Amino acid sequence: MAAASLPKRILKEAERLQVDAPEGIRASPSEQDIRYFDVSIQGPDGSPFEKGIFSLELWLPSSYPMEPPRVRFLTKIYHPNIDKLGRICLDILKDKWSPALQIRTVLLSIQALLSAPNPDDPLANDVAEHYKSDEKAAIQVSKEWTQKYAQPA
Amino acid sequence: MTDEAPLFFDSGDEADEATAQNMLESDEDNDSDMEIIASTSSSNKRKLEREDTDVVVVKAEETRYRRYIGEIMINGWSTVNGKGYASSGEQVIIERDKSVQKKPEAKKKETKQSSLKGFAAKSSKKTQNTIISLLNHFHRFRNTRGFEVGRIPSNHSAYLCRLLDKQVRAGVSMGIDLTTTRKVIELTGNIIDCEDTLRSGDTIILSLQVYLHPRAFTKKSDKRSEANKLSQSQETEQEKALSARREGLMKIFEYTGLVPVESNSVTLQHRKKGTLDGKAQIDHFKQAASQIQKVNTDKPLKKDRSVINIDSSSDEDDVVEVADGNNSSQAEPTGEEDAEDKVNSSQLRAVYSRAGGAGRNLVPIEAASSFNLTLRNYQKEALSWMSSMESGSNEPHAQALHPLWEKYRFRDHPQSSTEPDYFYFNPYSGELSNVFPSANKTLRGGIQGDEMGMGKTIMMTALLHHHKTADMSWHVQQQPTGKGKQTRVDAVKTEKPIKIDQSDSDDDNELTKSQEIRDDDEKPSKKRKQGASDKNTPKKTPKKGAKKGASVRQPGGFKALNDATLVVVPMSLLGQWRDEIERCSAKGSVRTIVYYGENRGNLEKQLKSRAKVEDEDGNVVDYSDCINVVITSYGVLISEYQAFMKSTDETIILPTLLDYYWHRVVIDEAHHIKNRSTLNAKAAFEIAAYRRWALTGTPIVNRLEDLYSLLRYLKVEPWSDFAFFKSFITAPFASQDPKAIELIQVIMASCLLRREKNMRDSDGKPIVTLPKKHVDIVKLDFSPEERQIYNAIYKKAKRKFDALSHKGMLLKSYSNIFAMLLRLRQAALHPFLVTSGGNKKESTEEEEDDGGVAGIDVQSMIAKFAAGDDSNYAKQVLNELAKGNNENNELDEEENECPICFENMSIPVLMPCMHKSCKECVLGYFDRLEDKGEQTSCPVCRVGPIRVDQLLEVVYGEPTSQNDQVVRLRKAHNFQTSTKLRALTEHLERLRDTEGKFKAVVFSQFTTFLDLVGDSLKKDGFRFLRLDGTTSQKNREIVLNELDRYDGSVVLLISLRAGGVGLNLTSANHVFMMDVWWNEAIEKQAIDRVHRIGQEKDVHVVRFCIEDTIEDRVMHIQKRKTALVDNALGGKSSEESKQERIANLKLIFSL
Repeated sequence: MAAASLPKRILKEAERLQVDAPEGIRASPSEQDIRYFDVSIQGPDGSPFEKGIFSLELWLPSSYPMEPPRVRFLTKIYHPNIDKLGRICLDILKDKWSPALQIRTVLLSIQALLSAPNPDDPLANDVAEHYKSDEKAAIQVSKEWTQKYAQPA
Repeated sequence: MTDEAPLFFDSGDEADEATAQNMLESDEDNDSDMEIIASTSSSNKRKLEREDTDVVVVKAEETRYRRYIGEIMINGWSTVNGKGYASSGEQVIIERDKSVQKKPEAKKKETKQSSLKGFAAKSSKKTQNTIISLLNHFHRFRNTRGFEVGRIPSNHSAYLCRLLDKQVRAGVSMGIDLTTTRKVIELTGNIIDCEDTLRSGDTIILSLQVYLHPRAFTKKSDKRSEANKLSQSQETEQEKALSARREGLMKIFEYTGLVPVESNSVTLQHRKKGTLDGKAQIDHFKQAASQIQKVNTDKPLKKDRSVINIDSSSDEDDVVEVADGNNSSQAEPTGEEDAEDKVNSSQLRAVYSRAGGAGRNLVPIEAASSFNLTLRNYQKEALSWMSSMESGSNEPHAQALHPLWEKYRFRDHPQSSTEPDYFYFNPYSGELSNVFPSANKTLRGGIQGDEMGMGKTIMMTALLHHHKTADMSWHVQQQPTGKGKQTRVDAVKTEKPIKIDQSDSDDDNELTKSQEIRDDDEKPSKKRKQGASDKNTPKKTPKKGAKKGASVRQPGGFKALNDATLVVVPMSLLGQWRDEIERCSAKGSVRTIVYYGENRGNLEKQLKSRAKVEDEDGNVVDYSDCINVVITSYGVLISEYQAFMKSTDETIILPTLLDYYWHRVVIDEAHHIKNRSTLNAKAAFEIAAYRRWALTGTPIVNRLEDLYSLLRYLKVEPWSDFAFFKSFITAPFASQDPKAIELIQVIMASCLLRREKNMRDSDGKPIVTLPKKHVDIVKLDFSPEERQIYNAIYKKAKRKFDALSHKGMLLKSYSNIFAMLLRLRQAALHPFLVTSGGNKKESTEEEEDDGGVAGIDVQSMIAKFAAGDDSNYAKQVLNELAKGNNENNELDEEENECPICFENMSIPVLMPCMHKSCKECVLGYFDRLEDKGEQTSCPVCRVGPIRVDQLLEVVYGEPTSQNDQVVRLRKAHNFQTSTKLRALTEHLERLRDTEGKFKAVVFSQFTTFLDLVGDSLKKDGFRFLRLDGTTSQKNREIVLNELDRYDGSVVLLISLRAGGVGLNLTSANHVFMMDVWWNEAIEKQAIDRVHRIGQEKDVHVVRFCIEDTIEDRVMHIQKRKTALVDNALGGKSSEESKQERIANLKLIFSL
């Protein structure tokens, strides 16, 4: 049922994200393009990003779900796996993608990534280095950034 | 003229002249009797001189003597009393009684023959008010001493006067040749027997010798068409005259017993009917013209149907059926005209019957030296024909008598060697001619209509070479013999200067002149298109204008391309044509320009460049003396045509293809222009070229009008006028008039060459010799599982069939039965075919009918079959699934949803990890992973690798009262083999072992089965290609190229629908027919794509057939009568074929 039914899948996903949103995650399709989602993720409790509201953009390529969605942080974030441009280093967004994954699972994974930064698989090298050498200070910077950039308008 | 003693004296004088002038509106021209009267009337001499200036030239070349055609015996009446007036053997002089005319003054002036006056006056009194014209008909005869003897009875006078009189003349302005209304015959008379003493009213037996007057013959045969055109228009004075003359001649021929030495059966038939009716002959074509509006309602024409049946020697059934159709159609005339035009197969055979190579005495000629290939003999014959068609030296061919004309022999001996033995008469128009009215007049080119696969492209390429090198002297040799249209001949004469002029066409006066003439004739001129919306109407106007003076007209503005041939082909064949031409041609002898896409626009530059070019291998190719071939597509032609139509002379910036005057134009797959109202056709008509060719394997696709387009394109006069074509061919054909077919046969013989592969040459050898074809029918037995499945389906089908048969509903539930048959045929191929998607709905319907029992049987059978060697595992999963299913019967939506497409799984498959997905989604995902070189794994849990053969398809049965739901599993990926697949693999493996590299083609009607074949081949490591109805044009080419070029074994899987025009699979020589076609002919066609010209090896065909299934039954029926299978399944509706269909169905279901 591949190609023809893809838009249906996207519609279903979008609908379910509205009706049954995962905790701390909001994702709504843009009015112009059903494939483009405005996303906000709440920083998980107990993480340096607690209380922060992070904006992301998510876009579904035409080959979705055979190809993963493209996701990017719009809000500045100090995280070893997220670079200055907001790009995210997450395996399921790359080679570990499976068509059985969905927007919901991707966003939950990103939320989890906020809880568990992984400096061993870094994207932002300087941040990763900071986390490795002085985790406390690094977490402090992350918290400051969260306060500074990731507050609801 | 005057040296001949005139035996018929016109008794007219000045008054008669005046009368005649009053009767006729246009009297500029002198009547033809003038020269005869000249000796008696000196006052006319001046007139005669004047006329001589008109006539003398013609005289020089025409027949100078009256020619004897026969004798008529007449019982004359004596008008005298007394002795010595006449005696047996005495010569008499016949003269027209002019004593009674409308005008009383005329009577008064009647002085010469006062003796007649009384009688004439008497009779005039009797009839004056009723039939004045009848009085005109009296002819009297005198003896040589000048005394009147008697009168010719009015029944003879009636027609004689039409031929002797000068009474009606047509004006030149009406476009009719004067000779058509001139004096036609001369008479001499002898008394055979009479009483010595005559009393008034006595019988005098006369013998009249009839001669055709030298001026009777139509001199310019090109007028003929116009005269004919007139005969279908409204009845005019001129036409009445023609008609009267025609009837007169018919009578003369009848009474003198003169019969045509050459005619056609239909004309004879018409003649006979006319005679029997005792009336004047029906002007058939006129009638036909008036028939257009009310086809099918005319009773007399209906009678002609019997004639058709006599004429068409074979397959009378078909014809009769058409006739029946007409009868029934009378009730509902709407839309019938379309059907009328349709041509059935036997008619088609008749149409082509004279277009073959046999009987044409074609002398094969060798191709030019620059042509690289060796032609086969029949191709050399075609070259000979094409060459003669182009050069106009088509003598054997020119002997086709124009279908509207009859040939007669004079009954005297020619007085000089230049005098002909024969003359020609058109019984429809009344014209006489002493030059042979050939069926083809203006054609340079024709239709190469050889059957598909005989090498039309190659033959045409040979022609390109041939008439490049052939000496052009025929341009001069072609004399204006009077056969050709005058304008045409002129054009040909001036053609030569154009040939010489190679580069500077613009300021060549001769060229311009010739173009003007051509404009009149063929007129793809700018001028016309501006005002003309209707393509047919303006025709007459320019013709007339041309006579007045071509100098008034604007030059057409053509640029001559003297060595360039334009080839128009379907887009997909552009490359093939280029390759083929280049393959056939010595280096540098031909330059092909594919005028398409980016190459458009700079045509002239490309054509003019004579440079030496280095090819890819570094060799210098000298193009200084090459033939130019411009290949373009119909699409490009259309857009050029549109540009051409929009542009005016002033606005031309870039010339279009239509702005050139081509050496030759060739349209390939010419049936692309069959509909005359399409742009394809309009554009093709508009191409200007000296020679015109149409290549097509199907000159008539299904309607006669298809032919019209070709004739129009070829400029075969007079048929390129649609109204003309319609009234002379389409309408008569529609009303079942055999003349139509006969006419078309003759037209076709004049411009079409069509051979079929099975034709034989004069030595009885097939014209095409192909390598041998071995067909093996390989009978196979089902495996026990397959047999069980098949039998289960068969039993169910038979039950249903028997039930329907009982109710007499067989034909009404035909689609139902057809579906059952389809299932049976699929089951013979592979059990999976009967359960996969397409048939699911249908199978559930049937299960409902049967209480579901049979369905479950089949399903369990399939599950068992599918489980194969892995049955324990399957059982285990099955149990689990069944259990799980029972526990939560209400599967919520998301549970049943495919994790990939989020839809309800239509065909759920189970992975080893027990995760489910749509079959299609997961296979698509696996393909993607394989393409990326990654390992296949479950999309949900990533357990892998998963082989496709580990996927299990879940098949839900219908809930029944006993069970909640039956769930079965079978292997999802169709690599599971079947008897047929196994047999194919075995054959292929044998080929691989024995032949090493081999190329094979596998045909099936079911693309789903081809899927399975593909999987099977993949598994067994065979390289394969695939062509089916969904393959795009581009991919088709890639696939066919690959088949040709791949150096190694390759198998092409091809579906029935994929085969199209021109498909050439000759690089393969093994054919496997996986299933049995209903119609053996289609099977044969499929095989012929391999077994066709170009095939160099023996072809081995294997037809697989499973014993004791529908397949061997169908084969049996095929053997019984191939055509009936077609009938039985093709949907014909006659009672006979219904019976046959039922019989066939019963045969299939008889165990």
